[in-house]
Amino acid sequence: MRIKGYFNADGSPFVDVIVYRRRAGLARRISFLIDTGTPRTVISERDADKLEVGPTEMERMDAHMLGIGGFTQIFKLTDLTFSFITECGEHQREVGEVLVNKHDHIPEKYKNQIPSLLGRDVMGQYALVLDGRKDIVLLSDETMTEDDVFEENFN
Amino acid sequence: MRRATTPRAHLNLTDRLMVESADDSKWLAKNYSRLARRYPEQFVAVFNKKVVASHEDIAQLMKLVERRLPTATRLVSTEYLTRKKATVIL
Repeated sequence: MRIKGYFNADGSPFVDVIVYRRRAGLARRISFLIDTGTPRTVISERDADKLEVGPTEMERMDAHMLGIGGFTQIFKLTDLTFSFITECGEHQREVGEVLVNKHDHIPEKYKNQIPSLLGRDVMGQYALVLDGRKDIVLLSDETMTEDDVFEENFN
Repeated sequence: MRRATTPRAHLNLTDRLMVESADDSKWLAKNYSRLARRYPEQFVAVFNKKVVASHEDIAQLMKLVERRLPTATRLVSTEYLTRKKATVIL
């Protein structure tokens, strides 16, 4: 199964996910920046608004996280299912805990540009292929061995 | 005589909507500059490579989308368009 992503205008890799809020019975398509440097998947404020997440529906986390604009307030959502769009239809995965990042000191016009991040907690379940030369952004559940990778590229 | 069918004819409504919208975010990214000139400082909603709604508030935008595309709301791509796009450095 292969999940196709895309490069945005500045060349950053993104993948679309239909995010289901199980308790609210609501689903919205969210574009996630594929961020290999982030351990946890994070939904940005604008995308939390798209998902109609109210302030009382999130649990505040007593944790310090350093992100865009310095330390941020972190909340968590625990009832999300991610559905990736694949060539075989939807591929669903329940995710344990997704963080929501809130910035109090960033103007709205910048806050609206902050993307959600697909972190290693979700991305690590797949093989990731990024090839800017061929315009390929791909997550795959195919098993790859070290030999496959080296044979493909160096023989 | 066998009737000719399109490749999409066998798909149910949900699958057909998904196929139609599969590349919408990529299309938005490619057309960002043109759309930002037309919808500056607004969120736009795109379905099947067409702008279906715009609004400066994303919650209000999704209410418009729910009214206009009730069967496809969950598949709609959105983006905030600005002529002063910031580069996000993580």
